[in-house]
Amino acid sequence: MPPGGATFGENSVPPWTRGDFRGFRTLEQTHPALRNPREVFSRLHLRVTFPERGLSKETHERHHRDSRTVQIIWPKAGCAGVTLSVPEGSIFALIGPNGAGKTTTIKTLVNILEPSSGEATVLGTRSTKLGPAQFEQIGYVSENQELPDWMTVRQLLAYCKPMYPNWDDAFAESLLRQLDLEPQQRIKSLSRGMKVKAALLSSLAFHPRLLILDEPFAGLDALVREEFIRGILELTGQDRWTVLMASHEIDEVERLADWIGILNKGHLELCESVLSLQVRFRQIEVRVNEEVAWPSPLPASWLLAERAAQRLQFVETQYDPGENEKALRQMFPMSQQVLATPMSLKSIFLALARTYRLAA
Amino acid sequence: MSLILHHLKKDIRCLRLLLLLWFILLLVNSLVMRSGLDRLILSDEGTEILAAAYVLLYVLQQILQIVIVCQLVQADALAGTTAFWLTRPISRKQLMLSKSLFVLLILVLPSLIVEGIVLQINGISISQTLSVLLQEIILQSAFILVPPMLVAVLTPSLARLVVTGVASTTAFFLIHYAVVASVLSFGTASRRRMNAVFPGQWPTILSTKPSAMVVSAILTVGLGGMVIIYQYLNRRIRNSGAAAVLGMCLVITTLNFWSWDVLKPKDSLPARSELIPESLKPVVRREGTTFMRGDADKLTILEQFELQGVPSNFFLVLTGLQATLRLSAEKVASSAFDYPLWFFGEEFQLEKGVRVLNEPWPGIGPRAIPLLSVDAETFQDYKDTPGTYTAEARLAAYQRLSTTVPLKTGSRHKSNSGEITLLGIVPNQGTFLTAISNSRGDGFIVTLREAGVRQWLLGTSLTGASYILRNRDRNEALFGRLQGKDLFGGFPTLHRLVVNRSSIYFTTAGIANYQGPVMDEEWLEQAELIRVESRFIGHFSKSVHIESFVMKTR
Repeated sequence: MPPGGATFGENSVPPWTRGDFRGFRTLEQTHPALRNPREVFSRLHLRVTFPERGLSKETHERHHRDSRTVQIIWPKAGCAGVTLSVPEGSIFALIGPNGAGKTTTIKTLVNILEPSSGEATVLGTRSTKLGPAQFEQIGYVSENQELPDWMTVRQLLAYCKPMYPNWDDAFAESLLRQLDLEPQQRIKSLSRGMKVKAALLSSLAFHPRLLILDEPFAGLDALVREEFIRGILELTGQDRWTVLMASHEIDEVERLADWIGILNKGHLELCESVLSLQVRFRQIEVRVNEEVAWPSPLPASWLLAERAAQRLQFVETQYDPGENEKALRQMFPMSQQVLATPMSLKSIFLALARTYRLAA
Repeated sequence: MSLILHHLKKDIRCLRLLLLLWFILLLVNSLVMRSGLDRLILSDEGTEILAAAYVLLYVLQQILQIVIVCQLVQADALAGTTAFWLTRPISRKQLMLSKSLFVLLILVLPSLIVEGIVLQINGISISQTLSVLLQEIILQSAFILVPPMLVAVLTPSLARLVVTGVASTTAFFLIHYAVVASVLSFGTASRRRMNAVFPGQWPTILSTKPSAMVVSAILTVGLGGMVIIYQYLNRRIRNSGAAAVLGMCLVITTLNFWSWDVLKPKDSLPARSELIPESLKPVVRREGTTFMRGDADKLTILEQFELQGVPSNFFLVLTGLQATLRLSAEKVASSAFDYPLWFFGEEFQLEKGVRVLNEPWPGIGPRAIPLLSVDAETFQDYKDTPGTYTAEARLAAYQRLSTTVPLKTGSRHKSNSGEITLLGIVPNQGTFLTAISNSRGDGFIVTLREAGVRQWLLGTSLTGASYILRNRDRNEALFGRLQGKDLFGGFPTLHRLVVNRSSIYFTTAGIANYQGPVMDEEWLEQAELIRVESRFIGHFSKSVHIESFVMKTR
């Protein structure tokens, strides 16, 4: 029985149902101590807030207290209201459409940009106060980052090494091999994908506590993406690093991330574990013989309710196998069949994105 | 510290090709060209090619230096959000220190050392070299390097740097010359004179006042440096950009309106000088008063002025006159002149009994100088009213020092200001004067290489020298007419070494009914070359007091 325990439809079959477990990490793997997803919520107190005019002092303090690795609380023009905490040891992905504020969020976190108000906290330090001591523990890879392209890959490593007390030569060498980089090749002669790999190499060889990836898949071909994802999973699996990534490549994110934050026009609309999302989101299809009326008002947990011939479709955001089916049977007593199909992260994201657009 | 050096090494490695090229240019241009190569080239064409090549290489060297500085800053760009260093464990302070060390150790120090070696090779004393180096090279290097560095810290890429650099330079000159044009059109007469930019002097002269230039340079370096440091420590483009624009406006204002003479040396003469200011007597001869109407509303009174009691081996230059005419208890007219007015002293004297075969140098002596400037209304009202005229005349004193230079081709002679090399002596033939006087070749042309120091901050150039060819056996002398050319000087070169190629004409050609001896090899065999150097020894002031001064004497 797949996670969710409901009847599956024909479409939107998650990869693990096909026996493909590459890139899928179970909750037991990511948080061995927390086997129940709901327990994850209760322990980490992850919340999504939409502050319009900043946050109260109490909220501030609570988020400080709860933060493990990364915390951003700031309302500003670019990102009108983002409050999130990234649990240590997790792979957290910020996803959203172009212009949602993902890169702004990331750049604010690493003090490349300064928040116009509010604050971001990384490794317990305000982002504006980040200094060498914090950057010794942070690896940063961005599609836009300019590497010193006159250097060879070997020279890049030699340049980075003295800056990091935890630099691991043996690890760097093994990464060189794993990432299939030619040490004597000049960075300017590398392809875009190889440059990202070189940046990744220089950001991993010192065993960072936090790895920040900004659109790491942009411009990478399928093979390189695959290698990249595999590399990240292997490495984070070994060292229990925390990874914060921003991407709009949902398929890749689904394979990597165990926590998701969805940004939309500068607002953090949702922040949750992937597993929890996949547990509570279902594409519901109710087959009826004759015209039936929608309940009025529609339950708050339904999204994108639509009718197609003798089918009623909607996305259930608070799916509970026993409760939902019972409630639907009561709502639609003439229904022939109720199908609850698990949704991929991409489908969930698309459903939410459409909802945000409709709301706007 | 190790991280700072680590980044310094990285930058050296990154810019190694440009640095190598720059070093080669520096060495070729300084050590090869200015250390005596010109001694081997005697033809005018050859020296002209050498000078042109030097200027070209000098400009290239400066451009390359600016490119290196810009690349240095932008290798770890402060503007933009994509620089590699931004997310690496290096503090902004460390980065700034590593870049500063690069500029000081890799660019400024080698220039300083090479300049020092060049000056030494050219016979400039160590003390003179040090006094020049300390004051000027550092300010000059900073003045050349700070503005491009400033633009570089405000721009994220070379392309934007070039655009911003060109735009800001254009804006600077447009604003500056707009101010100059406004002052010349609408300003007062004195202001117009002070701000005048003469044809052919652009862009050498940004201001006619050396003090304004120096203060502007210090402001540029100081303010620019502060903005660079601020940007390194805070990375706030808007604040830094606004400060840079304000700084530029301040520099333009200073260039145009600075009036305090910070370079004015204190009044002092050497302790044991033969020139005693107290023994000098200023005399104003009110025999032929003349008036000059310089501006619509001003009238300048000129009188014959003389300084009596100047020792024979000295001469004085009147550099300023601050005058006041008290006409009544309430009415006082005053004016000030602050530019070289005239020379005072005696002509250069040879020993008694020496027969001068050609015309001696033009004399110096009494001369009508502007005593007072008053407005036309005051003049009309008080032209016949006797008043008390008092003035403070500021004088620059020069001493004539005579030395004998061996008349041997290739010989070198150390003078007070540098080194003199005699490059050649040729008979004077085929000149314009010999042609019009229908005479045969007469006299000689002596070619000299004179090395000296130009001090920009003090506003002094190579001290002038004159030459006399004297035949001791025959007790005869010829005064030389000097035609000098600064081989490596002039805009845009800003170095301190001056190498003059001087041709001195000792001839009687052109003198009507010349009855003296023929100037030939035989005459030359018994001759010696006397060098008369005019050496600045100091400034002093002298009071002028005239009772019952009437503006209109006739």
